[in-house]
Amino acid sequence: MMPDGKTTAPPARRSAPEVTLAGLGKTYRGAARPTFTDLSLTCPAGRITVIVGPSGCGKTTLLRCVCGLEDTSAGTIRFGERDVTKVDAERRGVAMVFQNYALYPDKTVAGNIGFPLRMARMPKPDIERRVAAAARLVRIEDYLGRRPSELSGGQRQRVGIARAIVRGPDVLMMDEPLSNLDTKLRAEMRAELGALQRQIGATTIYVTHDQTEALTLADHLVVMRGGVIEQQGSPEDVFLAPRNTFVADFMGRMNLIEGKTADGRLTTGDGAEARLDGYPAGREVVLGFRPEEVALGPAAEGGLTVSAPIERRELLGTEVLVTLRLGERLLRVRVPVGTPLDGTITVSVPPRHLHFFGADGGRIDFAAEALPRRQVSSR
Amino acid sequence: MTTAVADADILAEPSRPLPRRWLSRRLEPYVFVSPLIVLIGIFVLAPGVLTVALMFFNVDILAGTWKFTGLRNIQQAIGRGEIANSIVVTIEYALLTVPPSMVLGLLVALGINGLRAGGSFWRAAYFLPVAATLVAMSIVWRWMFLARRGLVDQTVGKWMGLTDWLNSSDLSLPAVALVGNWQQIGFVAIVYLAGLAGVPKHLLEAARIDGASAWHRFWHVTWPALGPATVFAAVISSIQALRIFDTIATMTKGGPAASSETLTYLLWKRGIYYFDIGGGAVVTVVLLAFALLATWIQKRASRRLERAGSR
Ligand SMILES: Nc1ncnc2c1ncn2[C@@H]1O[C@H](COP(=O)(O)OP(=O)(O)OP(=O)(O)O)[C@@H](O)[C@H]1O
Ligand SMILES: [Mg+2]
Repeated sequence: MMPDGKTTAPPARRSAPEVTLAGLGKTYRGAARPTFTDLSLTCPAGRITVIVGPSGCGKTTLLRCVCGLEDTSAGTIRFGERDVTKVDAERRGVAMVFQNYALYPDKTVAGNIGFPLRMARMPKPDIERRVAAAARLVRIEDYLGRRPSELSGGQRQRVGIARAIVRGPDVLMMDEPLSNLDTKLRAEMRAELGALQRQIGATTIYVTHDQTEALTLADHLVVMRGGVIEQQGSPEDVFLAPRNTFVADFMGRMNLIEGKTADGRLTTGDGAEARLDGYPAGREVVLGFRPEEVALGPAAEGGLTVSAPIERRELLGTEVLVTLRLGERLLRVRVPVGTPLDGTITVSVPPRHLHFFGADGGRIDFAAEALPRRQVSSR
Repeated sequence: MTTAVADADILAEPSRPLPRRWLSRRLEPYVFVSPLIVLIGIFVLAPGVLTVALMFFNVDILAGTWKFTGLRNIQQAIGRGEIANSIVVTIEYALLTVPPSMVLGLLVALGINGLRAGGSFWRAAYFLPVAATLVAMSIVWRWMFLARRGLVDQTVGKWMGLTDWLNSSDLSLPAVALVGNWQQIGFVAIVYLAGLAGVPKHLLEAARIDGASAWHRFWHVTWPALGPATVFAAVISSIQALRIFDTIATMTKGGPAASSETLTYLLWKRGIYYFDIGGGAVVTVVLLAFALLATWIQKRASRRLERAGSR
């Protein structure tokens, strides 16, 4: 971020507070149903908490409640020890990066970045120093005299970020800040944002529905659906052990096969079959695996083997995303380019990449149960 | 599946352009605008040219005679001094109505916009004077301004000693301007309410997050976004001020001692009352000059705003 090493971070590093939401409820005026009820969440101090979830699950609403743009119907919001539930947005001191940038069109870049400082009645020389520093941090220093309309989308987004960090905020909110950018710029900005956050050390709540963003940026990952937190934890935990089929599907688009285990097989309701070695028979399960965790050919020692006709092929670059038809359902697997792909393909998933869920969708520890028997039966 | 295939077939059909029409492409636009051109010619351009021409003639409509008199109409008008007086009165009237009604209209709009409920009632209440017949309303106002027994003399007159407004050469124009404001505020408020609906909400929220107080949110976000509404309201109000006639005719008849004789009233007096067509034409041309000036200012201001809007 700072190749010349001269740049100084604008905010003095203060101890950022932990953000605690307890029993939070929100019902919009005139809405039939609450957006969420009894939502509790702790965002670790100075770290990035990423909230992911499908559209309409209440991510933006949650952010707006935390920064004070919406009243809450129930519960408390704390920044460290300080209860801010009833504090007006104007005084809550939260900084926010908006999805649509929300830059002031009549002000220059410098005017935009310096606006929060002006509102805080900071002396002019201090404002100039901080604006320059914030602009250098997001590498927008060459555009300080321009107006937002004379900037590209990525540059505008940087201005939005600079405006948010210029105060050296303790709590920083970002609502899908990268969603309007193209893929390449998004990847760049993602890396920069992560580095930037570590530099300024603000407790950050970051909303996205991009899985990559969520996994790369999060210190603490929260998966929401319909106003309910489905799972939270470190990104590794969430990704490697999704708590239910929803999380499994949402984070990493897992293939899910509902079926019944029989001896060495998994039979689905529609009569299709796959080989499944080393698991107890007679259980109704939902089996999950990710497209990228398959190997070509049948399983060597235990695990799942699927032989199925190819429905569709999509070139991803060095890999091909192949859609298979197993009975009524479609499975997606990724195989290297050059794999012969006509008619039928046989792929396998080793046990360590298999996930099992119960009929209610909750994760079950099926493999561990099966471990002793598998050892006995393995050759 | 089948419908998708059928739909795809429809799209796969070659698209045939319509056969060429008999009119050539170049002629077509002129044919379409010609009715309007003719109407504008008859009702706008011809009367305008005629008015300018009339300045140089002595016309007797009853006898049907036209006599070219050169600049005499203009010399007489200047000699009488009434045009200079009317220009001053008109400008005074504009100053007494446009700025106050703009400020008050904005305040009313901000108030109504901030209401949680009942906004449509207050919108209607403030818009009522705009929709009402001004002559009828002026009669009510004349009655309120009546010497001694009128509501104004009973209240303001008692407290501040300002009595008999309509017969005072100092207070007659302010009295008329008061009615002008009363009517104009509702109009300005409606324009500003429409403008306020277009103020980006996310910018107001961003400003709140940035720690801006209500006043700063207004000054840094709302007011810049209201630019087009301000120009529009100012232009229309100014034109209304130039055209003011009904209230003056009903309440003061330009008096006392021409102290409320605006250009429009003078025009009526000259052209209709004294039947001095040439003299009336001179006043009309002065009025036209003012209208052109207002249009020019509007053009410039809105061009600047358009440029501002594009950034
Ligand atoms: N102002 C409002 N009034 C009433 N209901 C609202 C309002 N804003 C949002 N909602 C509802 O609240 C729910 C959550 O909306 P929210 O904007 O928080 O979703 P989101 O998770 O941010 O979605 P997205 O990913 O599409 O941005 C939705 O069902 C939405 O319809
Ligand atoms: Mg949202």
